[in-house]
Amino acid sequence: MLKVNSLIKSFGGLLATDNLSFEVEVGTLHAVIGPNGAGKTTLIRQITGETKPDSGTIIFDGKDISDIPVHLRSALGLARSFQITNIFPDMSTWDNVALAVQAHAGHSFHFWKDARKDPVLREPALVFLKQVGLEERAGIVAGQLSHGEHRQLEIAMALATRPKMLLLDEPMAGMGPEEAKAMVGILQGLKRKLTILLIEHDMDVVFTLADQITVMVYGRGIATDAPEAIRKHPEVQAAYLGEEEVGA
Amino acid sequence: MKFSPRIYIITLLMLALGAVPLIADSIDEPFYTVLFSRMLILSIGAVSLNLILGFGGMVSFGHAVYLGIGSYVVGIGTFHAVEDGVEWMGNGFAHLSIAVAVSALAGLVIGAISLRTHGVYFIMITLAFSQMFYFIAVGSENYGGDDGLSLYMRSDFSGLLDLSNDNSLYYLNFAFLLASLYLSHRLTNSRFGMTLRGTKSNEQRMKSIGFPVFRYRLVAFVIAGAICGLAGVLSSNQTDFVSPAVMHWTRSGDLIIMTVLGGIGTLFGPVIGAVAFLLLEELLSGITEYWQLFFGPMLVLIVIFARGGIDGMLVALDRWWLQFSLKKNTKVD
Repeated sequence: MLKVNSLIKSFGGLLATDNLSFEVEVGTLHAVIGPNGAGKTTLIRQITGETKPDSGTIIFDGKDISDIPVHLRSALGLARSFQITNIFPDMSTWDNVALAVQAHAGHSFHFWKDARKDPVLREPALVFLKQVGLEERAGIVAGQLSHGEHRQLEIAMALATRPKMLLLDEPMAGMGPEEAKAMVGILQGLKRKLTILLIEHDMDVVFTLADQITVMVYGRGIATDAPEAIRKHPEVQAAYLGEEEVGA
Repeated sequence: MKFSPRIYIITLLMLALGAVPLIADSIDEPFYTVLFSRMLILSIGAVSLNLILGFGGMVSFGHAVYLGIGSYVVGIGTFHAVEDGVEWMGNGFAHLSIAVAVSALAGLVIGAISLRTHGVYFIMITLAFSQMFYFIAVGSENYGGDDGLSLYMRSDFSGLLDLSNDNSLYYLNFAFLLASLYLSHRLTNSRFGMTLRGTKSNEQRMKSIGFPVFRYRLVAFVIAGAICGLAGVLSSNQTDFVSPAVMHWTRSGDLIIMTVLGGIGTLFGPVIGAVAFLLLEELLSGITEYWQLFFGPMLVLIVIFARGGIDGMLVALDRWWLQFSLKKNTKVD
């Protein structure tokens, strides 16, 4: 589904992505882990097109997307959620998702009909809100939702663009244990329906959910394998998992 | 439906605007018709600016360019109609359609270049464009240059309307204001409008969910310019005079102030703002020569203390009223 080939990106002298290659199979949940500053978010930004790589190619669904702009990658079926909450804070929760539905419902040069009364946008939006458990908060101004609800909304918006692949940048960042549990439930519900690339700090979550794991350190991919193999990988243990007893 | 003081006040304002010529005639003060006529025209300009500024978040500092274009279309047209006897150049429908076409084209060019920038750069580029048009007008000696051009006739809507009558012109302005308000209402709630609002709220996110935002902003920029061009046509008919001053950058500033004062991103905010702006100007300048000394601080206070402008105050009034009426009801129970 997604193939990253010898991707390189440097900021000044810092190599944020250092000759990184890996492949995400259709229908799998692929996690990327690595310590802070390993270049995980930079990787996502290159896949979505927000940052241009210095060299290397990104193949998505059989097409080379290395040089096309953000909105076209979205049109091809890539959707992302953000590490920092990134929504339309002054619109209602429902409006937020309806706008994401609208993004992929043809062009928006419709000047006359009231978009907030258009069932073509509103009804699918409500379905996505239900999928992440936010339907009761549909009428609330999105800026007033709790942190955990913001993350849920982000995922509903990503789903509303009907992606083939979902890029999730630390969806559980800053969540309490209850909220995190709910999010794991949501992700489990999405697994197999979509191809997912997950960046996450929480090891328990990663080892519970992922089919494949890529470990990044200082921009380099030091291993890509199934969770069991990653646990035992000596280089991974030294570089990232450290002394800690993993998954005990 | 619940009683809303805000809607009540706005309705009253619109009804009052509709009745101005009748009242002015009955107290024999036709001056008021002219004053309020200016308010209507600048309201249209502010409503159009509000489309891009209030709903689209584009702080254009050159919106008076289109007032200038509309004004000069009438100025130049009537000049040739009177001097050279080219009859069609005095025709009102010709003025309106040429003003819309030229303003839209200018909006397309200015927008296509300036919308590639953001923030302060956007403000500076739109300002630079407006100064460019200003100096073109100053340099056009045929049409009066810096001194401007007096109109010897108003736009000719033969058979339909006689604009030499100030009341007819007033109601033409009023009709155009109502039409631009209705258009603004439809536009801002349509899919197109939701796209604009989203871009104002979070442009990066709009791109990442798949919107090619540039083309939507550009079309909004063109529409706003075209509507303001219409206001320009009305404006020169009102003053019987055109000069580069109509598109001086301070005029663009006035339009921004009116929009912000009345309430940015609301349907009626720009109308409230334009009326308040010109009323204050009129009242204060009657009291003292140094009226701007008081006008400036007043605007600053309103912007600081009433976020959302005057319309924001009315929204607060609505909320207060709701609580007040709830309390009253619980007491009765």
